[in-house]
Amino acid sequence: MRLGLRFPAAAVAVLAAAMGAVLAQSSPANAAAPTAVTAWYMYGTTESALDSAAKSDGCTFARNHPGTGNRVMVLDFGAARNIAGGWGTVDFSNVEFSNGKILTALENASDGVHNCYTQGTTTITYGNSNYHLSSSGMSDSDVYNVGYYQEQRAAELATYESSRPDQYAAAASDMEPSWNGSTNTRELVTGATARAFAVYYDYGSADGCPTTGSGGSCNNGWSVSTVAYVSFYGEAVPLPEIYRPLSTLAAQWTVVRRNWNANHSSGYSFWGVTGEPGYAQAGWDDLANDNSGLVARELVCFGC
Amino acid sequence: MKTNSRLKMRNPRRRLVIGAIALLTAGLAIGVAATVSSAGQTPAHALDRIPAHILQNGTPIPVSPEMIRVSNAWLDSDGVTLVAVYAGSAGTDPATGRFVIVRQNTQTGQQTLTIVNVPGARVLSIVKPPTGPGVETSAQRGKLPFQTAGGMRGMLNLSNNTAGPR
Repeated sequence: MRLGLRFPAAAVAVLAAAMGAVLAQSSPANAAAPTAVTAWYMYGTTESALDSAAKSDGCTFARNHPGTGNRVMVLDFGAARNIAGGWGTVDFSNVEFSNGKILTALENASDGVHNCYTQGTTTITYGNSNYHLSSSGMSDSDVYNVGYYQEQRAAELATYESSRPDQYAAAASDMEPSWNGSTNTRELVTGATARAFAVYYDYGSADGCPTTGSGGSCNNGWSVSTVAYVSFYGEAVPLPEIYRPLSTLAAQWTVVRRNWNANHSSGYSFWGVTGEPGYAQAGWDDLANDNSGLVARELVCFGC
Repeated sequence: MKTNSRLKMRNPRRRLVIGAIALLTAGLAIGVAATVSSAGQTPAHALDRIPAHILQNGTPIPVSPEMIRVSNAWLDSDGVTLVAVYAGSAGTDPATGRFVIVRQNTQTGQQTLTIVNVPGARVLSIVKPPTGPGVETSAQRGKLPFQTAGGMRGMLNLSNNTAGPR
């Protein structure tokens, strides 16, 4: 497993402990699924509302932190967009926020985690999605810059967190084959890897990919190898959605892993699972059963 | 590890509600709902009222196409609690109509995601829902009219997460 997270020097010792925990938390055969942690969809229509929601979310995450290890807190700010000549997102209430405003919201999340701290460490993560990037006018180089500057904002968040050794920063994207073309979407990961501050979680799907073998086609012109690229190339690490039917989605991601391993010298592993409320742990179990010892003990869930 | 600002941990309040009623009337089935939630509290809060409305085409959808293929969506917030309803069909079963309901309490950080299925209905669409600033609170527990791909009409009851004939 790669050590992709990067932190301020003051947190190096904590980092070592946290990453040690991650490494130790890979799933042995038949290991029990971890407790799910909540992730949030962001619906703010004003900057102040986005900030206070992020702060509330951070507090809730901290109060419910299930253990002494590191857990990932994903805030999904919506679809990546070109905002007034810069980068940002349009959120789920259809309001645009620049990266600067998103960074402020992430800092509020950091305050919330800090104020309500109970135990463990938390990686606060700037999430977006590949929803309709091309059709909203975003070129490949635009999308590259989105990934690059997501990592940059994660770096700036880490600076803000520098006096809080129980907090880390990362970036993430819900990359769904059905939402956008593969060539365009790949640029998110290529850009993030060029900046390379922290890992870049892919909490998307392998929508339409086969459930057997080690290659093939997926929805919207994607291939299994493209899903492998956006989930494991460079800074990318997979946190795949395993929703019902659990066994089907777990099998799709197992094909992705086989595809990567058939074409690269490094071995593919899962950095956890994104689960469905009520079925999150069963989804983690399904993926772990198909990929014994290769699924880290992370389980995020929108709505858990 | 830094331990200042610690508060006593409150166990997450989780509840699992699974209801399954197989009532078939006029080709509509009351759906299955599964809800899991966790709650917390926070200080200072900015109110963010969003008058009830159908979301414009092109508004990002948060939920994976493997969970739902969305035809349209409705959003409403009274500044504290927010409800977003996504209508369409099940991602891996086009024969099943599906709603995904996202609820948030922006003061406490609580968020739930609930799935309501309408077997055999195929694509569902929300039609003529309550709209405007006057229903921001009441509509969150009211009824949302919908239509199936075959033209049949029904109601999604947001007070108990069930769908049935109109």
